Amino acid sequence: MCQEVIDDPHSYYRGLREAEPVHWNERWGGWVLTGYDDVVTVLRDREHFSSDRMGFLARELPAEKQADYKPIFDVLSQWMVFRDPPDHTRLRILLNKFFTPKAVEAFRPRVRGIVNDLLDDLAPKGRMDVVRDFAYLTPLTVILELLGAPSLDRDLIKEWSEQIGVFFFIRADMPERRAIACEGVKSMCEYLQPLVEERRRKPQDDLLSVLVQAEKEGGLSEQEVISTAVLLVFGGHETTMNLIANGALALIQHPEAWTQLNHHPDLVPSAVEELLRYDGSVKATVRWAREDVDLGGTTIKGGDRLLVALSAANRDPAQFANPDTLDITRSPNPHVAFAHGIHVCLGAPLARMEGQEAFAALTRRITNPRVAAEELHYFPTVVSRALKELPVEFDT
Amino acid sequence: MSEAKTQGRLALACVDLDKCVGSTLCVQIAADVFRLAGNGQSEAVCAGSCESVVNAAEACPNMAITVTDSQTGETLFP
Ligand code: HEM
Ligand code: SF4
Repeated sequence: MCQEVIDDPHSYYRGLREAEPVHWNERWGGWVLTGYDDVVTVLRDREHFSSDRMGFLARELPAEKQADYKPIFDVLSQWMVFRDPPDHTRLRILLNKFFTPKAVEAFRPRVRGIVNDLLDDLAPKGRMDVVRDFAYLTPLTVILELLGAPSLDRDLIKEWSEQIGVFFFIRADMPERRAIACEGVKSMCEYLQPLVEERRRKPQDDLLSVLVQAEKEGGLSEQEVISTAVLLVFGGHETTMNLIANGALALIQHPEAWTQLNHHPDLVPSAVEELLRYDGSVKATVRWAREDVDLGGTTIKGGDRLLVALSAANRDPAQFANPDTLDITRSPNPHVAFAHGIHVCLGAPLARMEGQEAFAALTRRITNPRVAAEELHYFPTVVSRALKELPVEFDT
Repeated sequence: MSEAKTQGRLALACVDLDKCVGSTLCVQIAADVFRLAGNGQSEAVCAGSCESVVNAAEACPNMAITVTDSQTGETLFP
């Protein structure tokens, strides 16, 4: 994957969508979908398309290699995001009630507090790295508090999450990504395990206790408890961090939008939806065809894999007028940044709320922000849209 | 909503197709009321108990479902 595609995936996807919206990519060995309708069709059709990534990977890997992947298999194969019904349904229903739009409202004051504490510190300095100083701390703090692990070391967790992300997000530049991810998964499990044990002895009012309680009642296996905890830590901050960083960059590049949000904070919710559409943090996800199926006149063979390009669908002119224009008042805005269908992001209501608080506070408290770097760089991954850093200067 | 007030009452649900992302959560929670249409989105096919319809509406990640009391027309969710 070349640097141009990493820096500007939108132009690459536009070219593909215009030429061949259902495109066979020989190098990746799968289909790339870039049209809104095809993307939505596949995401909503769980009969024909599977999310069982670890199952398909196991079938592709020679037996002698599978042992190398054991930590990844043990943990990630239990993640709801990689499972099909009925296991998916069981895992999802258990947690869904803690992440509904109504449930997450209860944490809004806490999120507002975290965001403003960070800015109390940063605003007088006149410069910050949005990624390191601002974007990751809020979502990570929140998910650790929800789990009941507020005192865990954020820097360690960030490091292991990055290691897991090397596999999950398909880091193209790292052939050793399996070994790196195994390290990350093992370290995070070992770190969380004592907390799980504690909850087994003495339940608290937190999500780890919910998982342990479900285990007691026979609803979750022991492995599913720890796997789900890792999924929540991992899924709960990387992507939201990237939404905040990508969104901040888009707003800095559109100073009129920054000012507008400062004067009209009621526009913040629709601005967050537009930032998710315009430069969302998950560029794509993957599905596997269970059997031969027709997609827009092309036959997908059973066993084929499909890269479902969410970012491309979000810029499809057939669905969105002026798709390459940032319009923070866009409505309706049926973007697919959180996917669609049964795997639609569990944390979407939480991420939205965190994004709203972050952008409301940033635009209110930071004036005249400028990017303080010649060039910006993204991690070279297929799945996530992740800035390495975003140095910014602003008035004090 | 006070449960005592709506107990035994029926509620009507309406799914906003601009917002429904086909998560199927409402169908799993209130299978008597919601069903998946051919396009993978949900539709409400009949009234249901207030409690189960409101539970389904609350579960929706996208706030796509509005619920009204079938007798009084009062909005029960959101
Ligand atoms: C802006 C932030 C976020 C974005 C863009 C995002 C994106 C996504 C996407 C695209 C999927 C679907 C993957 C697929 O269908 O293959 C997903 C699933 C998921 N996300 Fe998020 N996510 C975000 C934040 C969060 C947060 C804060 C949490 C914390 C709880 C979370 C937890 C999950 C989980 C558990 C799943 C699996 C759901 C399932 O399989 O039913 N995400 N996310
Ligand atoms: S819960 Fe909401 S998004 Fe999911 S199917 Fe029902 S209406 Fe659609």
